[in-house]
Amino acid sequence: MNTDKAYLLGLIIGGGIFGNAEDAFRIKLPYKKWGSYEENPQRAGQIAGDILRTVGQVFRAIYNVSVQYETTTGGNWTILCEGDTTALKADLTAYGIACEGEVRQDADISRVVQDLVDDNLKRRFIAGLADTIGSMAKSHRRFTDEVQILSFEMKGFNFTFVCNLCRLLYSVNCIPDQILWNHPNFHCGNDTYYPQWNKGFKLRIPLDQYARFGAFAFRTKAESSQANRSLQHQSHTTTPCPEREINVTPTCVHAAENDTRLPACIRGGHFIHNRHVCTVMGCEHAPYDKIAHELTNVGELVNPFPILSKKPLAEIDGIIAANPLFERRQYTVSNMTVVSLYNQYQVNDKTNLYGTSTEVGYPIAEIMQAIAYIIANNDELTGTRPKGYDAIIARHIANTPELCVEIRCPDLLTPLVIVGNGRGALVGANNSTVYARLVSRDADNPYKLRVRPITEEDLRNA
Amino acid sequence: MRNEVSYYPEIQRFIEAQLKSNFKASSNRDLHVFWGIGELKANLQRIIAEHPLECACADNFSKRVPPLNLDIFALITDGQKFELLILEVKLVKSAGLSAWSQLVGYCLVSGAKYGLLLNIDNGGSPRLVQMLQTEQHISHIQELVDGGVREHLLGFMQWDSLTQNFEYSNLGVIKSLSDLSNRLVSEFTPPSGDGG
Repeated sequence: MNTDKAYLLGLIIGGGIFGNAEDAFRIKLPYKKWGSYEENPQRAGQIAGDILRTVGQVFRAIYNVSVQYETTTGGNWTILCEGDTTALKADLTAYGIACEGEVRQDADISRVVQDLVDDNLKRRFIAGLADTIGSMAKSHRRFTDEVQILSFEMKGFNFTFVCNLCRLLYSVNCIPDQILWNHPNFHCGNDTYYPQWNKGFKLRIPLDQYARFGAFAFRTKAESSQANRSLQHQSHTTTPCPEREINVTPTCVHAAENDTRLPACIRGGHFIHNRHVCTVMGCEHAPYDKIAHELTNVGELVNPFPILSKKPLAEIDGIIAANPLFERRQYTVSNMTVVSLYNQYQVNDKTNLYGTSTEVGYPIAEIMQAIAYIIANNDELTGTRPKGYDAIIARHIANTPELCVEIRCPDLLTPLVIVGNGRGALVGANNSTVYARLVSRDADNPYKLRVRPITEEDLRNA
Repeated sequence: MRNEVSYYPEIQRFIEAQLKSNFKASSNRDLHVFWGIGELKANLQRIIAEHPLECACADNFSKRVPPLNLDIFALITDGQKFELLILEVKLVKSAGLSAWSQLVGYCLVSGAKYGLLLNIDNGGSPRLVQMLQTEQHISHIQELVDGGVREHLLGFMQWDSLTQNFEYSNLGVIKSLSDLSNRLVSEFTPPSGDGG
């Protein structure tokens, strides 16, 4: 190991793709809009320079491999590495990194990390990863420009890689503030019936923290880092994981929790918070006590039904027909004026409707979001997401005070069905005592929750 | 507008970090890097006086080396052996043959084995690039001194003040800092005994 190899290993593990060719491989730089020559031709020129001058010269100096590049209008860049790759492959193999397909998908960096014997070597390796998969796109900002983010983005299901990378970053004081795990509880915590949950991992670090302790080798990345940080009015530091507060909101059970592509330690588990995953993965920085405390109220945090599912009505009808528990219900159908529900919501946005007690029933906040989706004009939606649900409701009831939606209320606390305008929504009830009975702990890992399917008996014996 | 001297600390920091990391990774031992700016002889003697434990091995050398004004030099030692690295730092649009000649001269006069020509945020002139590509002997110099061969190994790199990193040029015999580190490791590592 040396500092130049550490950087190249970071690049290759971040974006390397090996095919059948013995004397060539590629490094994919998924820069998207940020690197598109149509969006920013000047930056695209600089990226080409970074590839040829920075990456190319290091590859040549260390492995005598030559470098070219390709790019697309969509901003995906590929570094083409050609030459005798024997020495490079031998190094990767010695670290247990298989030179097959997309390296990141299966890479275990634990042996590489063992050889990064000081912080400087770690930073060089991290710089290689940051140059490939570190994104500073606008979409990572937290509501405002004030906290700029560097997000390490990874597809696939390599939870161990993400966990090891997080530990490595933490060890050089680049403390991540959040991991978006590639798991349905985080990509679609509200909708049991959202199939496109496999959106990848995002390991997010406040850019200030990274700029102080991390590194980039690409000038373009360093310039973006400077430009983004200049939008902040003050500098930000990250609190170490064990000290940070945890805010947990309920998540619904998703069929893909059992997806066979998930690693065994994650598969079959339900997760209430991104750092709950850290406890199950056994990270030494995970907030074990805080998670254990949250798990004492698990019935309030797990919902076996969709918390809110918004779809075209035909799809909602299909979901109901396919689920015997929903299909067997007697539904009381009523037309409710939107204004009457909105008034209740404004009085108390924590109200539960159609329930058996103040704690049990359908949360009005989710009902109002469902209604906003149903009554919205097409141009007031982004997909199924209303562009400001409060404003949409206020606007529509101002124009049509008698505006109604159809509410189908089941005889047991299966999801409430709200219908109108060719659209439908399912709203799951709050029912913590019943839901708590569905949850058990994994025999091998006390932090891993398992949630069994809910039955009619569970609901009847509430 | 920064002058070249203002870049010295960041360049020193970076080189020192890479050399120490690489030495530790290769030999699991600590390397010591002591810097001097300006006159070589007086600075060497100061460094030896301040760090006698690590630098005593350079004592005789410091007594016979002539006074010489340099940009930066580093005394690199593991406590048993030492080498001298001379940096000739430029802040120009393109570093040319005259800058290279300066570095060669300093290395020959001082006896330093290693020399790096560093241009800040810019590369080399076409003529220097061509010379370094085709004439290896101008970056790998061997001179006869007192009946023995003295070697000088030189390289050319670009300091990127934005990324705080080197952009290698692959010009000269020292192609990278890890290459320089490898050479130091092999010089400083005691030969393993054959047991016989």
